[in-house]
Amino acid sequence: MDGLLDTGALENDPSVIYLLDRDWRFRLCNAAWDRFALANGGEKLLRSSMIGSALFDSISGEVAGHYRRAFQRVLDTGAVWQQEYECSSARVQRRFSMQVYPVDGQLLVVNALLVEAAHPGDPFPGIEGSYRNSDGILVMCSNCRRTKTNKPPARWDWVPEFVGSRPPQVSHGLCQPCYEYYCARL
Amino acid sequence: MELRLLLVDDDPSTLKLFSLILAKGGYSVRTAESGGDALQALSAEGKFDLLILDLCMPKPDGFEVLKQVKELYPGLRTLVISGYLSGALLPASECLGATATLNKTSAPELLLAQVNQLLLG
Repeated sequence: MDGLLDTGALENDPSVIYLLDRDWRFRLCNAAWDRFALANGGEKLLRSSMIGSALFDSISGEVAGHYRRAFQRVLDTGAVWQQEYECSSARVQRRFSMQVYPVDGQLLVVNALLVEAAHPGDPFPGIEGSYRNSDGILVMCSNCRRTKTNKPPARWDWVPEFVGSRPPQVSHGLCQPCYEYYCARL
Repeated sequence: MELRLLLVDDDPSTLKLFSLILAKGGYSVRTAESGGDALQALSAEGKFDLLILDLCMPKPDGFEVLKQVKELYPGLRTLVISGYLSGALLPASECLGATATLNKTSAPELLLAQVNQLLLG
């Protein structure tokens, strides 16, 4: 047990769970953390390396600000905070629910998998000729990382080869759903 | 007096979104969908306070525009925006005279703050 927590139950929970102390340092990561890290090329992020390190040493910028504000609000108010987010790899589409609980002055963060599936296939996966435009440029959405086809009507495809590597001559644009997403936030 | 920005990107949706963001911040925004259009605007439409420039575009691309701006308009501040501001691109754009750089993925959130910082201090 760690204070109020049943660490044995957390260890065996299928959700990726971690505990942060008031300095945002990892106090505990469960077995699902390691399984997720190993399945996604994160050998350097196993819990043996993470315990004791600070969450905000690993993330920065707007993302860090978002989580710092949300986590601090949980500590200040004692109210549980929840969000859904996408964490996809080049070949697997995943959506998680994150719930953050205040526990004895610390934060218990539970990341439950909601959806995991192969990205929907497209007719021409990996064929640059279907995507490079007449100027030889690939147009990729800077938000969702889908790539625009080069023949009308344009379609935005998830192309693992373009996400997993960095092909030359990529121009970053915005697909219509991502454009509307940002406009709605203005 | 409104500060004038020249915003260059070959993606129409990016141009629209960034224009909206900057107009809400009180700036006058002239958009250009190509490097050629941007150079034309610089030569024909008077002084701009800031050039916001995408790198990867059909010729002339952002690097070529940067080179010409450095030569023809040495006082013009330039914010380079690109999806891949790592590896060689970032130092290359700075060598060519970019005043500041911004990753396109973060731009919807950070663009206005960065422009304010460059122009208003």
